[in-house]
Amino acid sequence: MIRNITLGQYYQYDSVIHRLDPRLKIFGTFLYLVMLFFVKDLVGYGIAALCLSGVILVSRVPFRFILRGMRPIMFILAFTFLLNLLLLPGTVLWQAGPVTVTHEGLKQAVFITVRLLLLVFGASVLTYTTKPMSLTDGFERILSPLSKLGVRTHEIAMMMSIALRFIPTLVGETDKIMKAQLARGADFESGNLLRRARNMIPVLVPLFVNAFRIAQDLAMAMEARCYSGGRGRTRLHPMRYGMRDLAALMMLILFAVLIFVQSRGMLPLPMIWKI
Amino acid sequence: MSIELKNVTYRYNRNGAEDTPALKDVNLTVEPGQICGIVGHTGSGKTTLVQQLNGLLTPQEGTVTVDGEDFSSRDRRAELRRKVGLVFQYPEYQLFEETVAEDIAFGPRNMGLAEDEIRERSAEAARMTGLDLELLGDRSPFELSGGQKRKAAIAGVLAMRPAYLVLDEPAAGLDPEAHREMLDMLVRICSEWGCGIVLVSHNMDDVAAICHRVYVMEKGSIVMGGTPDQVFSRSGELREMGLGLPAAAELTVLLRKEGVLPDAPRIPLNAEEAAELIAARLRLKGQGEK
Ligand SMILES: Nc1ncnc2c1ncn2[C@@H]1O[C@H](COP(=O)(O)OP(=O)(O)O)[C@@H](O)[C@H]1O
Ligand SMILES: [Mg+2]
Repeated sequence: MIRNITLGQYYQYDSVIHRLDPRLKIFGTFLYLVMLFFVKDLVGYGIAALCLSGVILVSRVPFRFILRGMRPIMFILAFTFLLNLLLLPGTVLWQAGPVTVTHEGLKQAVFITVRLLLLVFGASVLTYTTKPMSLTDGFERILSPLSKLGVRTHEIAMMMSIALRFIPTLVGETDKIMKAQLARGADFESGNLLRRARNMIPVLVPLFVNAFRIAQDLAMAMEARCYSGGRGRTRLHPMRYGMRDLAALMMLILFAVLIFVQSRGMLPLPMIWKI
Repeated sequence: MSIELKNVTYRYNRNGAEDTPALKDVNLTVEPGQICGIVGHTGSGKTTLVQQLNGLLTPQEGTVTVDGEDFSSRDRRAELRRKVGLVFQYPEYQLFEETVAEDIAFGPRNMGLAEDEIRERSAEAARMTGLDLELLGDRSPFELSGGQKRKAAIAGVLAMRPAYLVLDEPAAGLDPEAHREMLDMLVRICSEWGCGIVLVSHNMDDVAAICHRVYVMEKGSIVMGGTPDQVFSRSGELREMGLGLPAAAELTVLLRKEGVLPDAPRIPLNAEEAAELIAARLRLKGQGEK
């Protein structure tokens, strides 16, 4: 019933992007996301989209797969677009009854939607090309200076990886419980919002109970195998930066500079729809 | 009056037509008053099959009809689902109400029955499963023991008085006594209510003991079907699929291989029959030596 959620999943392949050091990929994604907020016009977004497409192409994650992952956020995107399009005051472009579209509204709507799309696309490339385990290892290492201040970085990273690991499990569990309650005549499809929310109780209660049960079992299994937190733990595959990471870093810096320079209007490119 | 599956093919992945389907050209009839066993390896499609029986999954090809009606009409779908009670694997993980009695009443309440009818059906269902509703009815379902939880969950389905009852591995993880009680209960439901029962199981002894018909699944297809006698006499083919035989049948096959027992078309399916066969053989030998 709720299947085919590809957003946030890992796509198994052996591309250059997959092999980059997770720390660099996390940093790169972060830089990309920050740079998106520097963009001041459509050409800037064009540059960002072009670079991102290049990365996706090299990563060999099928575009179809990434698009499928966008499905859950389609609603939010459409909603944001319409809200901005219809509610912003300014010079009227088009009017029909109570509905007015202004120049400012259109501009804002396009900008926000494109930015959201680029944000989610960019962030999803990170998860599509990095195993959840490497991802959390990378986070742990990036955060590790904080552990000197008493922040329990290993525990935080472990919780993250466990949370990621159990998303599909809980999705499957939800599916099973929904089917079981459907078989007992439960109805999830009709009634108003309040009624529908109430009708979800037979699903939510067992789901929570089972989630706690699973968590308890996991904790027990980890303790039985002598897990005792991060202190003194070494890695089977220590992370090392290589030449390819250096090359990727160079390209990242180039990207950041491009975006920045364009936002200041210092590139020999026009500024379209500047804000 | 029966559940009929005709040439049912089902794929989980609708767009990827190239991969092997979870169900392939399945034909199956479930008759009232009969227990129908489905055996097969993990991943052979048993759970997928039982979900077809009450319209939780609908096949891409072929038809599923319950007493002549299919699940295509949305209005009739709820009605048909009531006719086919489905007990999933580990049903105890689906309990949710504050009390056991309320949980059992969930199904009948969804059917819109009157309060005293609901109470009567719940009591009857609990009695059938051997759950003491007087004692446990007001407890939280989460306080029950594993076996009691399973009984409560099954009672929740029985309380809807389904004409057909489908159970996916109902005895998995139960202790031997609860296991036996479960089988007894199925036989009783079948004979007292005239229910048509589908029992998915890994346990060949269970299937041999209570089923009228047995179907063997492999890679999404039904590869064998017939009475337990017919199916378990094809021990060679079953072994090739990596499936076992009832213990008594296995013993007989081994003794025949050793030449202790003569080859015969019929294979004993339970300990009593096997003992009779062996005892007869021993007596014969004893006479010969005298
Ligand atoms: N929800 C699902 N989505 C995709 N594939 C599934 C799903 N459930 C089962 N399958 C696949 O369908 C096949 C049959 O599974 P299942 O019916 O659960 O077998 P069984 O119950 O006999 O162990 C398996 O290959 C399994 O991987
Ligand atoms: Mg199964």
